[in-house]
Amino acid sequence: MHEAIKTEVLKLRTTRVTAGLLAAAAAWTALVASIESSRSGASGMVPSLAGAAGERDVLTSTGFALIVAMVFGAMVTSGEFRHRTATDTYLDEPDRARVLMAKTLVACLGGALFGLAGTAVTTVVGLGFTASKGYHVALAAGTIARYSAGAVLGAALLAALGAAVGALIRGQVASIIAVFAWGFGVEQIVGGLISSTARYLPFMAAATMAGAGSGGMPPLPKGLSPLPFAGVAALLVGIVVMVGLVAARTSLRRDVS
Amino acid sequence: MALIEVAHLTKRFGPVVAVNDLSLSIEAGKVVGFLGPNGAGKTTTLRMLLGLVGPSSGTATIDGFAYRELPERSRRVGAVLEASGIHPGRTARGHLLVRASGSGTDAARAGEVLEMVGLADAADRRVAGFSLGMRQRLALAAAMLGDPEVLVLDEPANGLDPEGVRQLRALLRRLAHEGRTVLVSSHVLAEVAQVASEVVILDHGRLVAQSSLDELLARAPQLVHVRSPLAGRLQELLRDKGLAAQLVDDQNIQVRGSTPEAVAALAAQVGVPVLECVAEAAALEDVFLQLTSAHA
Repeated sequence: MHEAIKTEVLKLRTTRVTAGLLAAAAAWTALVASIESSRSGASGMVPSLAGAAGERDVLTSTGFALIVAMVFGAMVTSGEFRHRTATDTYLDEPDRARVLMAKTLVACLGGALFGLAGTAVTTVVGLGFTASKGYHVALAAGTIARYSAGAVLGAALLAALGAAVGALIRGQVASIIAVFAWGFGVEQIVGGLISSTARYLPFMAAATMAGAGSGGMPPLPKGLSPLPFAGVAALLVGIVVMVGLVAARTSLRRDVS
Repeated sequence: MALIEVAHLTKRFGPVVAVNDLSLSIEAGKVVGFLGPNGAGKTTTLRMLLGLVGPSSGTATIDGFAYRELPERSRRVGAVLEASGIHPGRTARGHLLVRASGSGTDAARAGEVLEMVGLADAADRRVAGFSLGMRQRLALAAAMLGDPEVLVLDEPANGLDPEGVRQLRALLRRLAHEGRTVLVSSHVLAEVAQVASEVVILDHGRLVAQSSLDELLARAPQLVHVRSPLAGRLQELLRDKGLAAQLVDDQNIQVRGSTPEAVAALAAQVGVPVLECVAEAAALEDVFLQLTSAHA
């Protein structure tokens, strides 16, 4: 297993895809956090940075980094079929379950980097705007650390889920579209219509792990009472395991042609 | 015991039977041409041999093992199945390092195999800028990482220019000279004829022939070349006798299924002068077409 993980890490290190995605995630997150910070207090969406609620909305606007982490995970697996490298991968390691497991673990580790980048950017931007407006930081250091840890863990789990989705769908473009459509479309619509279900949906669950509120990105339905941190983490792990098992079962049976 | 053994192998894709009850065996140390027209089932057979496609029934083994169970796999078998299956964003060296890591071979071999296929100068260039020929050579380099005893090559000459084909042929000859077992599929028969000692011919998923090249060529219908100033009249005479005689030009005829002696005797009987009457060497293409068209 160690060799399979090493190989998957090497695959990521020998292309520019991961760095490019990380840069895109950081740039978009910075843009969103900057817009929210500059509009804070002036619109009804984000409260003033003078208070904890406003700071929270900006510091937890890591939604784009979370969704890109899931896209990254999908690309780790579906990229093998897009570039037709799956043949060589399975020639070198015919144990497909081991390959999928290694990919999922590596996607998880890589996904954590996206969460880290996202939370680092929102924290720097949010606290920077707070200081520039002459406000004192209202959030406790421990709370900020908890948001950051949630973003890192949430992104890692979403990336693992993305890896399973990519292995199931195989088509890289299709899997990326599916991830965006799910995160920014299906979950927002379903969560908006039936708010009680929102906390059980994977993208929103990861966002609540990262501390997201109703004014951040993604905006959570107002009045949603999120599951406790451990409960959300367990829920996401359960979803990853379930989808991963279906992906493994499918991968073992499919011909590589 | 044969090194590669295929027994009653069948693969169905829905209603389509791609490989149909195929059985064959290949001895160690031979270069075997795996021939057949497009869609004959060559690629599917090779993919079943390498564990990439699951057979509907039957078995395919290398040295008695299914590919995934084969001990020291990378030292036993190297394969080139898709030259385009290389990430375009990787350098040639990066690709080989990934393959070496995946197959558990020494990363230091990357430099050696790049040298072997003549890509040492392009080692740090991204594959996106490679020609098809360079990609094929890189794929061959990856297959050679483990210095394997057996090489399985699926249409390695596809898309190569004449110089690339010449280099590939030279490499295959070298591999054969080193005593490796090479199974090379192709529909370009002339290439295989120049390097293979044995051929396996498939058509519509079935085995049509497996023999040495000499045995196969001996099956070819005799072709007689005749030159005569009265070629048209001689052609009519030969056709009347039930022979397949084809006028090449106003002085030359090709006759199938006869001998120079018989043709000359017939011409002498009716007083047609013959300036030349010789047997032509049968071509592998002729045998191949005869065998595959018989099963169409």
